Amino acid sequence: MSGRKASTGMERRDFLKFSIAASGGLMIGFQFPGIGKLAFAQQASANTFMPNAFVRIGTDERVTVIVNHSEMGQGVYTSLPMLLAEELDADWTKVGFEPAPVDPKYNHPVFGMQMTGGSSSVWSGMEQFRQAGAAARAMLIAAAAQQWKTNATACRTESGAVFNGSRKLTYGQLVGAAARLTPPANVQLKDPKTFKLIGKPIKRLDTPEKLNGKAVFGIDVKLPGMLTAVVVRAPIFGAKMKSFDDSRALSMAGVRKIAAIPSGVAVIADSFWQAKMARDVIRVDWDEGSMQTFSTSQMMQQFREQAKSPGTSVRNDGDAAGALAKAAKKIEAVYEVPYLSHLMMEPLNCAVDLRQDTCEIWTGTQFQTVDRANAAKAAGLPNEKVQIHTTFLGGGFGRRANPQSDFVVEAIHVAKAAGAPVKVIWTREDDMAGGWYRPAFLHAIEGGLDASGNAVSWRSRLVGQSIMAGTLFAAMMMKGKDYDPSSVEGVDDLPYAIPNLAVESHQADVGIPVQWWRSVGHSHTAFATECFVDELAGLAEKDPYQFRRQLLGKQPRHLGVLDLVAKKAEWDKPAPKGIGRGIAVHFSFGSYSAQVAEVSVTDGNVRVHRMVCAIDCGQYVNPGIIAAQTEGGAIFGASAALFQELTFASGRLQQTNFNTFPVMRMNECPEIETYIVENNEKSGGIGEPGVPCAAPAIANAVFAVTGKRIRRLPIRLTEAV
Amino acid sequence: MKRVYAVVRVSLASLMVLGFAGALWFSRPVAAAEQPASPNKIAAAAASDDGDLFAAFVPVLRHPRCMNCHSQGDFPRQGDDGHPHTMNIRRGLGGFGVTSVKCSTCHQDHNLGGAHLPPGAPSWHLPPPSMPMIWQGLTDAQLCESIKDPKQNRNRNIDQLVEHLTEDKLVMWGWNPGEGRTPVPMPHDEFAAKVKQWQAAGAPCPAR
Amino acid sequence: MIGFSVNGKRVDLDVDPFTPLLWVIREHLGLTGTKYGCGMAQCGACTVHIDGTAVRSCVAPVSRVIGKAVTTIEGLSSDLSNPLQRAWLEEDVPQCGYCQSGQLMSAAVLLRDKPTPTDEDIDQAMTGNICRCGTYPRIRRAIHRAAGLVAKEGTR
Repeated sequence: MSGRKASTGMERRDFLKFSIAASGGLMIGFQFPGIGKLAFAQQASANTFMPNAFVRIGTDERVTVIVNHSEMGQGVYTSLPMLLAEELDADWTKVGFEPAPVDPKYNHPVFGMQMTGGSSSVWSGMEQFRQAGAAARAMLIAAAAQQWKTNATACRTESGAVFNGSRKLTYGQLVGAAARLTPPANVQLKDPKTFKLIGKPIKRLDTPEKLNGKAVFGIDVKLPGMLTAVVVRAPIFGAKMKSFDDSRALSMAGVRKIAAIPSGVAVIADSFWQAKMARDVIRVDWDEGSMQTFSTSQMMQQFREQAKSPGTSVRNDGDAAGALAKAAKKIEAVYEVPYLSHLMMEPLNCAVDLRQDTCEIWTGTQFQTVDRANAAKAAGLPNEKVQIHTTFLGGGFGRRANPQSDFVVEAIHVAKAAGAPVKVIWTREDDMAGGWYRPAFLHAIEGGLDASGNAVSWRSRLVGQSIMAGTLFAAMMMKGKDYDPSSVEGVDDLPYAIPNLAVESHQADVGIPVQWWRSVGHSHTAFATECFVDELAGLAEKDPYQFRRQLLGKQPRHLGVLDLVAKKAEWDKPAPKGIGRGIAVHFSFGSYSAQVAEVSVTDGNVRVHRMVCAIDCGQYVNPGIIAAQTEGGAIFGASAALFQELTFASGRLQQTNFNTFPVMRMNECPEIETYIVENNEKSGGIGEPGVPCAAPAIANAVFAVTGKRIRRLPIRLTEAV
Repeated sequence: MKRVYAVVRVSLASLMVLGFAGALWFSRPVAAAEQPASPNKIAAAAASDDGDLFAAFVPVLRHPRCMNCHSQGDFPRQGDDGHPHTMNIRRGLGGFGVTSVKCSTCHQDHNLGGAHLPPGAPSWHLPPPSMPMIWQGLTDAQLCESIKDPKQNRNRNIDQLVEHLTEDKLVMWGWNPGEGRTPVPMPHDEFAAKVKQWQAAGAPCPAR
Repeated sequence: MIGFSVNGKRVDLDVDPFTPLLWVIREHLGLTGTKYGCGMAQCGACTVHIDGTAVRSCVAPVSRVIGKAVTTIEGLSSDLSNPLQRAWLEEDVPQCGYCQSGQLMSAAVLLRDKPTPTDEDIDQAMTGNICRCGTYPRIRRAIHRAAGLVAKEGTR
């Protein structure tokens, strides 16, 4: 989701509030601003020391870090434990992870609910996990000092043990004693210069189980007596079921029950294949509703019309229109991007065990708090009677953070019909047709240069659907604004020093459900703005890199990544024969990214040979993960730029699977180099900032080698101008 | 590291042109080696009305269901437009694909139900690289000679060739290519009858 | 009854012979390391070995494996001793991890057939396995690394 870094206004002393439970066991509650409720960690058992909600130490020396963010590939089951283990001085080989249950104490400290998104896990957990580790360490030291009858200050810690001179007690040996202690009121965090783990390319903790089939994703969950269901869903958004004929399906092997549910018809069977076979013969009569004539080509035509009139003003510096009228040279361009599917490798699924008065859910979700509330409502149970077991996520990219909890709520309805534990599995086709796409967008941009070739005017006008409007986040995210900030992020903060700059937004009303897709608004604003800057550079007859440099004089961190990537890509040297180079720079999610792409074009086919990436995410935790996320983000962005588009005709989605919505494959993947900027700036995000620059860098490289401007994604050279 | 792998998707028309040139270029020495006669002499010998017997069934051979595996390049093709098989599929040793991407990695011995699911037939494969049986770009005369030539047809005599054309399960797949695929443009009975007519006449080839 | 072996163990199952092998492996045998991604042999997440050939189990009817030996990711080596698993660990390849079983099973056949694969061999062998997270560069490095391990140790 859209993650402009917000200031928490939270002081360290407010952050940790310790209390002793009446039972004498140790608990630490965290209090967060805006939440107002004190939540308690579960009580420690006899063999463990659980000083707070985030860590448990066993007499077996195991240190288990309880992680409140979902692992969807971005490495939080490693980077967050690193933060805690660093302050704890744990023995890293003894550190493990555990997904947190749903509980307010695991809420995101800034967004105020338990969720994963906005490339925010590490920067928002930085303080939280370090504090939790430091508090545990202080208590272990105190326990050892007590035993040795010495001062805590005379003790030191290293690799899972407390030392005093030649004396040593391991953390496991101190579990019992530490659990009886009062937690410290204040803890001192380490001087970053002494870090042993933070800043190192530590190997991921979740890798081993992902190499032998043991990692459990939602789709792998198996409960005793569990049935499996697939659902016939409406072929057109907003269509309503009139009737269905399940006579053939009911007699098929393994079919237990077929039931109408709010989203369609659920086929509940002993196994997936039986359910799917039966589903395929169910005939449903739909009232197709108002979307039955919808087509994306008509919609884009409407967007083009809409872009001719002024939209809601988002930013207005100087007098863009006036400056444009007086400009020596001007150019206008219309950029268009399509609806996109998140297309996680693991299709949506959700397992539910619904009982009389409890409900347990197993799924890979990014949205625990929201899912629990929506599930409780659907189940007719109070929130606290619903528990979610977060599994590994086979990719998320935003889709598993659904404001309506579509895949969870539906599974509750199926569970009601099933009368037994049940897992709903979406086929790939179901997943792709299920909606909640990256919205299609149109950006019309006009720009002007003065007689010396300086950019003096820029007007961006965007047309597209709002992600936030109509959701429970509308009030929070659109507060005081009549446009959706997530639609215009990345252009409303255009970093270039252009004195007359206007940004306008048209919110389109289309009945296609849309959602945050890895890098959200930046996924399209970076394409439009970074291609248009190239077009302006062309108009000014200047080198695209130098042209950007001139306009970024007051943006040192933009300039930092831009210069780094240009240097590493040897921008000043001519590209190899037949190769075009393109460059792009963009700020998103608290981090600065720049990329250079090298492409060739043969008979209209674009081949990306090399991508050079520079990333500045401030203080970082694990450079190995940062490189992986940056590379993966570039590939994610390149896939969309080169191949991906969802289209509708007569209200029906035209793409169904990987054959019609392709993903970049091994033989198409460029060589990628990633360079990380070293500094002490505030930490930014890393899951998404690798995505936005890929499309414009590639598009600009295509121009460099063909002379054709790319104004529409995916890139089809027959349509280029 | 790798650099240039631009798999080129060109129009069928331009492929035919390229293929034609390519076929001429390499078919000469092959033809010369196989027969005492020169290519010109073969053409002259076959220049009879009997050539029509081959032309009567050649549209089947030229149909995408056949040509997609008898085409230029070291890879299979797909669809009625004959685009290169997605996923960078290669012919491989023996024509059965390479290492972890054999034909049988995805193709069964039967068609799978459902649009765009992999089609299948027993021994699903391409001609081997040693004898790639590339028909794309050949004239009718060249195609006729090439399928008759034991050095180009896996050592089949005419009887074996006719059996292959009319009974081989992989060839027969062309009449039953599975959901969403156009079958070859002639009923099988008619095709078999025409092939046998051609065989009975001594398997004559068209003049050109 | 459909009889075959899985990771060296004989199984006999009463199951519809048209059921895709993938679902038999996952649901009847409880081996969930083999993943469903597309159901149409497009993504490779379901790759297993049948008598040593890499096969997309989502489109292979279970009848295809009668009397044959099936190897799944769980059979590659459960203790991560296979050179590919070791190389994958060294290169820290997986992100979400969902496609990695299939990637490893394809890579295993590649390395068996071509112990010192070139980048082109990798392009040909691994292109049927989609990774949405974009781990391809690391997969490529890990395959080369595994080849090095095999060459050095003379084992597989």
